[in-house]
This record gives sequence, C-alpha cells and structure tokens, in this order.
Amino acid sequence: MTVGTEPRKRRPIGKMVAYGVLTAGCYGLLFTNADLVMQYFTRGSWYAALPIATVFVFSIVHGAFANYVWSVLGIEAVKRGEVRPRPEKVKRVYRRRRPRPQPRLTV
Amino acid sequence: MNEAAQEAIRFIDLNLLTVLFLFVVGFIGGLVSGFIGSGGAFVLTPGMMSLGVPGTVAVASNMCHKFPKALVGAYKRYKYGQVDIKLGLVMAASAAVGVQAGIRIQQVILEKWGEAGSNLYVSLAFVVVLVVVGTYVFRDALKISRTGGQEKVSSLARRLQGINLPPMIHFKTADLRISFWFTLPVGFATGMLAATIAVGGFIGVPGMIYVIGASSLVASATELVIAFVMGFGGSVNWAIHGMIDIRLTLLILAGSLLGVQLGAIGTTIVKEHLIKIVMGTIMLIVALSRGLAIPKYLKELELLQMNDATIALLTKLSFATMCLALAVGAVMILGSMWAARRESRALEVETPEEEVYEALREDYRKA
Repeated sequence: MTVGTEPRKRRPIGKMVAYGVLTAGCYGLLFTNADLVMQYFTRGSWYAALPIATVFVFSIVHGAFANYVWSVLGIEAVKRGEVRPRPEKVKRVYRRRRPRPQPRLTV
Repeated sequence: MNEAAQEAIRFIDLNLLTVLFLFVVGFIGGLVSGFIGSGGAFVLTPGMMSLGVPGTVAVASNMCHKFPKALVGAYKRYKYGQVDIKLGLVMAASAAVGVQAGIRIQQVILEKWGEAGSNLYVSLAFVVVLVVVGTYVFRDALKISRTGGQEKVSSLARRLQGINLPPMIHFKTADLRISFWFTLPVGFATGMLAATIAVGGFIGVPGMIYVIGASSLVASATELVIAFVMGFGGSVNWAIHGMIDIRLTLLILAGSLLGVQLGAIGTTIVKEHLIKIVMGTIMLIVALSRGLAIPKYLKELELLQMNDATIALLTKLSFATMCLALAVGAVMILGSMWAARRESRALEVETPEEEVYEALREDYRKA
C-alpha cells in the first residue's frame, strides 16, 4: 500500500498546547517565587518531601507535554515487524510480462 | 533549617547561559539515557561544578533529575514492551547493597589517601572498567553488525541459565529463567559502580546482556527501572540534608524529559545492535577522558612530576572529551534514527502495488 492511501493519523495539537500551557505555568510559578521556594525546599528533614513531590508533578505534566510534542512532529515509535521487508518479489511482478496466448495453426 | 546547605545553594545565580547549558546538556543526556538506559548524566555534575555550583549540590541536583527522567523513560519503554519490571526490581535490590559497599570503600580510601587518592581511585575505576567492558561491548556489536544484525544469547548466559540453583526466577519480558544467585553479583557490581563513578548502567546493561542473557533492548530499558529505584533513594537522602537546588534540577529536567522520550522512540526505529555500538563508543571515549585526568591526581599524590600548565591543559581536555562522548552518542542516535526513518519511507514509497495493478490492467487491455 502506498503512503497516500493510508488514513492520516490525527495529530494531538490541542493536547500539546494544553500541556504546554500547564508546563509553562508550573515553571513560571516556581521561578517567579524562586527565593521562597529555595527557602523551604532546602530546609531538609520532612521538607524533603517538597522537592521530591515537585519533580514528580513536573515529570507528569512536562512528560506528557514532551510526549505530545514528538507526536505532533510525527516522531513516533515503530512497532516491531511494522516495517516490511524490501518487496523484491513485487518488483519482479512489476517487470514481468504476462504470457500471451500464441496463435497456432492446426492442419 | 540546614543553614550550610542554604549558603551553598545560594552560591549560584542563574543567567541565560547557565539556563541554556543545563537545558541542552539535559536534552542530550536524556536522549542517551532513553536509548542506552544510562550514561547521560555523567557530564552534568562536572558541568555544573564548572558553572560554580558546589560539588555536593551538583551531585544532589543531578541525582534528583535522574529518577523522574528514568521514570518517564521506563514508562515509555514499558509501553513498547521492552521493560522487565521484575528483573529491574531484583537488580535494584542487590544494587542497593552494592551502593553501600561502594560508599564504604570510598570512605576507607578517603581516610587513607585523602581526596587526591579518592579521585585517583575513581578515575582508575572509570578507565579499567570502561576500557574492558566498553571494548567487549563494541567488538560484540561490530560482530553482530557483520553477521546480519541478529543478536545471540552469550554462551556464559546460556550456561548460567542451565544451572538449576534455587531460587530460580522466570523473567517474562526478558524471556529467560535464571537463578537469583546469578543476578546478585550483576546488581551488586551495578550499585558499586554507581557509588564509584555515578554511572552504574555501564556495568548493569552489559551485565544483563552477557551474564543474565537479556537482549540489549530489554537490558537498556530495564536499566531505567534500576536507575529510578536507586535515584529515588539517593534523592530522598540528599533532600533530607537540604542539598537539592530545585531550580537546577528542573532546568535539566526540562531538556531531559524531551530527550529521554526521543531516545526511547529511537530504540523502536533503529537496529537493536546499535544500542551496543553507542554504548561501547561512549564508554571508550569516557575512559579516555578519565585517563587524561589521572596525571593530575598522580601529581597531587606526589607520584608524578609534571608542570602546572600541562596539568591544567589535561584537565580541560578531559572535560572536553567527556562532553565529546555525550555529543558523539547523541549524533549517532539521531543520525541512525534519521537514516532508519528515511529508509522506511523510501520502502513505503517504492512499494508499487498501485502501479503493478495498473500495469496488469494495461496488459489485459492490450491482450
């Protein structure tokens, strides 16, 4: 099958934009309050949960955004076996002429 | 409040150059980690230190970005059916013991020979392990490449899998059954190397391939589970001491979460033995980099005479070579992904089914 006959997969542009805005919001919030954040996040002891929880949240939000970025750019995983071997047999068929009936004279 | 940590963390002010450096190195490191399972973060600690970040804060912030990156990479590769969670957890448990042993050895060396002795030990460990393992991995990858690209289970792994020493464990995704006792030394060595040179995967991935018998796809994906477990434990420890600079961590993470997913996608596009080629190449260049740093420590221990200008030059060369290792790995991954994609597209376009049917119809018409 040629590329043109395959139904085009819809690109998740909306999801990418939504997660992009969310990611930018998270980074913006943290960096605009960097002094306060650093004050609490480096207190140690039970405050250790703050940086750990933060990287978990960022990995989910930014991770989803990154996933949609690659999907929108058309860079996606190939399933094993999805790539077909070189179609040499088909090529041979393409060049072969069909045998034609030869006129024979019976006396 | 941890006053000392606060002082140390306030040491660095972020500027555009720092932000860009962390993002780019994070991206390239993530790409390599997503592809070979580890080895992407070794440039970050010396890189951050060269920006003025104190050593402990650099190590803590780097580690805190590694475990969420490994989590995202492992999740992505799990969806591709490449992660053996049970193997990862078994290996991580023994690796945790290895980390403790590695830390203990470091402490003993530090007490006996000081910081220069400790640095020399780390560099020697880097050079010896990476040259031996890296050469073996690289040669194996070239052999596979020459013989058609099909991986075979190593003879050592086949022999070990044949020994019935309870408890025997069946690893479903890796598709193998082996005694727990044979996974133990591999996990232990992974942890020990992680505590020594901070990149346990340079032993963990080849160990899973050549000793346990997993494929390079499964081994590199499962290494991300080990990296997550170990990174999480280490990060909690650093966070309790208030050593993590969350701004640095998140800037690296911004690049690495993009990179790790691209690397994971790459494993499904390129040929499997390329994982070994990239890993072997990076290991050998990193070994060269650490080799260049050895004269400095030998001089500090008064075991070698060399002028300061040469030492300074070698130190700079060492760091540049380490960056080169990461860059070469990234170029190899992106280059082969690009080539595989072009080949795949060319195949699809070349398949002339419609044209074949059209030619046949033409023949019928003529007949």
